[in-house]
Amino acid sequence: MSGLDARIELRRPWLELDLSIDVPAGATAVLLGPNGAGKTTAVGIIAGQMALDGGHIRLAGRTLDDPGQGVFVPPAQRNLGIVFQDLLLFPHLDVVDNVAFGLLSRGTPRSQARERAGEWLRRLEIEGLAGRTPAELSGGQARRVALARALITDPDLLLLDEPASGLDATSQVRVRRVIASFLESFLGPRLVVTHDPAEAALLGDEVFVVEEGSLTQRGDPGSLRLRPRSPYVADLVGTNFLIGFGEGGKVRVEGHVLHTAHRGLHGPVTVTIHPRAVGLHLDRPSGSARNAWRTTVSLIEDLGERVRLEVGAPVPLTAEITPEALADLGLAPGSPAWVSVKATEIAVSED
Amino acid sequence: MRRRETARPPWGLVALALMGSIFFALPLIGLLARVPWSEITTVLGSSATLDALRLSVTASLAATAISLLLGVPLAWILARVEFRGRGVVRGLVVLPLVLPPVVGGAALLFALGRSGLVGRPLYEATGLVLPFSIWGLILAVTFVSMPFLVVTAEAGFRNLDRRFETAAAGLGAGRWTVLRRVTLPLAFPSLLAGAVLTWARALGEFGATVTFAGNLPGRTQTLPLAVFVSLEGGDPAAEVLSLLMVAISLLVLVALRNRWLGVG
Repeated sequence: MSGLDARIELRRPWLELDLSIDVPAGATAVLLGPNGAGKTTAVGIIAGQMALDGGHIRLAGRTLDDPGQGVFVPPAQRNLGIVFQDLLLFPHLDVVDNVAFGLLSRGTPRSQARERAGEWLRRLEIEGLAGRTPAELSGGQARRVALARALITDPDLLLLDEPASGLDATSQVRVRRVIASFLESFLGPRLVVTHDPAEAALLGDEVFVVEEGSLTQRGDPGSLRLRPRSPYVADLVGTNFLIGFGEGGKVRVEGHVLHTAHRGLHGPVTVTIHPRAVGLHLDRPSGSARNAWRTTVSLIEDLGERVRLEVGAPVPLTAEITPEALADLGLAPGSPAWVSVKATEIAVSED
Repeated sequence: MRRRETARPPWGLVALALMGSIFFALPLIGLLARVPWSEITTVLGSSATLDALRLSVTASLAATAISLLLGVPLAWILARVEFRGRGVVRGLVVLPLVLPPVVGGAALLFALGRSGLVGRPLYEATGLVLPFSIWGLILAVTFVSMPFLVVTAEAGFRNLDRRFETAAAGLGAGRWTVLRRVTLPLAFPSLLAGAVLTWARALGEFGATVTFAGNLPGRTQTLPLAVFVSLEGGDPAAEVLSLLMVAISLLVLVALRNRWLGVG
């Protein structure tokens, strides 16, 4: 097998990790989780900065770390292409030498290494930056250089740690597109680590959600959106995730009763409502929605093509509408509003 | 009235700072006032001066070279490797900084003198006598000046962002390559600063030199020793030699002002 097969077990006083990640060649896996969930540690383990306490790391048919077999391959011999968080371009080297670094470290003659680096710069359309130092690059340019530096050694795995963090929203979109196209052209397994669900959705064939050191869900981005299995995932993909108590066809959430299309509910349930299914009105809605109540807008977030609004008590929800609809309604944080949710839009799963 | 963006500094502070500056400037002015300009070429051209200059340059450069060779690895180990007795080693390294140089010279004599702990077997085995030779001179100067390099370089290694080393390893660089191509270049400003401090200290060394290597013109008499001897004898060469040392120091300061001092 030419992919990555990582069974990560780490037991340290400050962190316990227990997760499996497998990525076939030609596929992109995303390790998604909040800060402090252990993502960076997992990267460090795959890169060989830290040794496993249990499990194994296998890549391209080679065992890199296996305490059971007593195998540990040092970082320099793992043949990984890594784009580090904060990039870590060498400040004392110019762009060409940064890109050529991996080849030079493997003993490629200098002139040949620089020539290959030049080819990669052309491929990433940054050949004009060759003589610059990292300090003279924009965020997007620096990422391309880091990508070239990672890819030049023809690695067995391409690993990107928070590839678009620290950029403004517009650059993020552009950089992600560049990254997405280069992920496509890399034939081995690719692993992207991020805390940003948008990045996960854009780049990932499969998403591994890690929370507090263990895997809470894995699946393609679509399945995560439709069936989030934890409040974190639901929150990440924007879905409303409520915990309530089922009574027949109704669910009681924080003292408020929601009408659902389900029957015979009894006991604790989790309720998911997609933000797009939440309607907003200035007056009591008169349509078919069985659930409607008065509330207050607490937060408005502009996502570009959509606007996301948070409403407060009695049931805190996230709603998504178009900017045009928002303008028509004239809502602002603190505005009173009516919320409606069709019973059929309320997904309930019994615990 | 003109508007001011920055508040006027308190005048008491200004007065004290001014006194401090004058304190530094005064000796220089005094020296310049005393220099017998008419005799400058005679003194500078004399063989005694040239010998002293040659010895000073040789000894200070040799001390800097030895300090780099031994001190950089020592600094790296102190910064990166945790071992029992690291505190003791660091204390030993720093000791010459606080030890009176004369005591350092005496200690060197007890250890490496002809009848010293190591010096006697060395003499018996090879016939080599360190004190009162150029080797003794270099040794004494190195002993006193190397701590500057170790202390500065260790701080440099400690302050460097180690994630760059991790990144280098991740890109396939072995430990030696990481050291050569990442660690040392990133620590270069500290190493340079340490080397300059070491060299300056070596150039001005007096106490340990005179104790361990003696004051033999043409063999171990460096510029500072020559200045002292001339002063004792009322020789006008003292002022000229002092001026020479000021000139050398200024030259180095000016050459390095951008890289190290951060002044333009």
